[in-house]
Amino acid sequence: MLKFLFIALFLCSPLYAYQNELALKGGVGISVNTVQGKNNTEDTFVGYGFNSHFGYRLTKWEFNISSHVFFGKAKGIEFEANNTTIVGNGVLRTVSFGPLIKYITDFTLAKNWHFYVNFGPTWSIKTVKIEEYRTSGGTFKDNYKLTYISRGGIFAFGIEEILNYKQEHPVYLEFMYGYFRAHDVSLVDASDNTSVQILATESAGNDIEDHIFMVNFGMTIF
Amino acid sequence: MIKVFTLLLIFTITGRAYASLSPHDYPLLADLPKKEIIDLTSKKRVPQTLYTYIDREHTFKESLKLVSAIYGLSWVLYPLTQPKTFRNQGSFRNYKDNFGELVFDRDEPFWNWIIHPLSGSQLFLFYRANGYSRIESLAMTFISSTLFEFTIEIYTEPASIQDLYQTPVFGSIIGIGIETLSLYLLNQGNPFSKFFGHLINPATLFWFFEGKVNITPTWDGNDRVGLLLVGEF
Repeated sequence: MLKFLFIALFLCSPLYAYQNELALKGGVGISVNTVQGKNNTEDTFVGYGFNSHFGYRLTKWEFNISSHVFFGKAKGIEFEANNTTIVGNGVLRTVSFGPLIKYITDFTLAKNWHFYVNFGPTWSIKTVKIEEYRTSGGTFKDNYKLTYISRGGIFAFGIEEILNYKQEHPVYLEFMYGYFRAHDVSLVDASDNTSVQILATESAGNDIEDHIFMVNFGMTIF
Repeated sequence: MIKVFTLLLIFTITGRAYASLSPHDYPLLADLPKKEIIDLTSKKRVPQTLYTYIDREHTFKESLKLVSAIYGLSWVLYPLTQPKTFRNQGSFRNYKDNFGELVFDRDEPFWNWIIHPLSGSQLFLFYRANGYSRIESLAMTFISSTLFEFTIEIYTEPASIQDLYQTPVFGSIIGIGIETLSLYLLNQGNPFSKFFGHLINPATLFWFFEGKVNITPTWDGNDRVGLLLVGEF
């Protein structure tokens, strides 16, 4: 079986596609997020988002600087910042960046649709705008928001059209898994949207952890 | 040095557009205001100038000159567009402290997803107007916005990871939208559309815009008509 896979992935007909070129890709996606907060609070919710990739394609390898953005609404999560415990529902917005490496195989499921894998480390910022909440031990106002800086990684696999010219806007469809763990949390006063104030920053400990499954659909823009 | 070139007769129209522009109809043109030409088939105005983008090769020196021009302009525009921030948060002490720092900013989406990408889109269109291809314009925008983040904006705040990525990448995506819409408007031939075409894509107004092609209708006196396209760059 392994032998078959090896042959299928690496020794089939060669790729004929645009190569040694910069390209910008982008698309939209739907996600299932699991967020783990303090004291084993957890919520799983459906979100949506978009992704973009700017990088260089060799023949089969691609090196991209990628960004994934996803939104969603979590309920009943416990957060902690600046000695204040906050339990409530919040709108979560995660923006991640990272250098991703992509390998496009010769294995095709249909004509021109080649199987690929994509992976790499990511750094992200998660903003939590809490809408309904109760607090203990400190001050938290409606205009405050929490931001988490996380590290993590992304692994994705999918299919992409391999076409001769990027002007044909080759399309891709991928399944992605991302893991993020917060290391810093900040309490931010966003009353003045022209100049937000960071009120406190501290170690997030094991505060927030995310598992994200996402289906992304996009194309080469240029 | 300005090269003048003449694009040859691109097409000779014998069927659809200008189909009824025969010697019999020709007096109609005399009745129209000076310089105004209409397509008698579609009843639309024919623009005097065709706006488009012409991609070409650039020397390293030329690219360096353009990046330097944008860099100098950024030093002037930053304090002018954000005087309050520049005055209240800016100092050379901050500049020293922020030099080499790279952080996630906590700004609201309005800044990160609208204002910065919009600035990026105008940078992208500036390079497009100077004859760079779309992907080259994105790369040049990347260089210009990175220089801004690491050596200008640090006067008030550290370089931001989101801005470094989103300004050129989202800016270019918005830039393509603006480019397409502005070309559509500019090529409508009426002053109202032309005004808004230039308004959303101001780079098309300047001397460096290389995609301006003059259109001159031609007629051989018999049954063949066409358009002569002349551009300068």
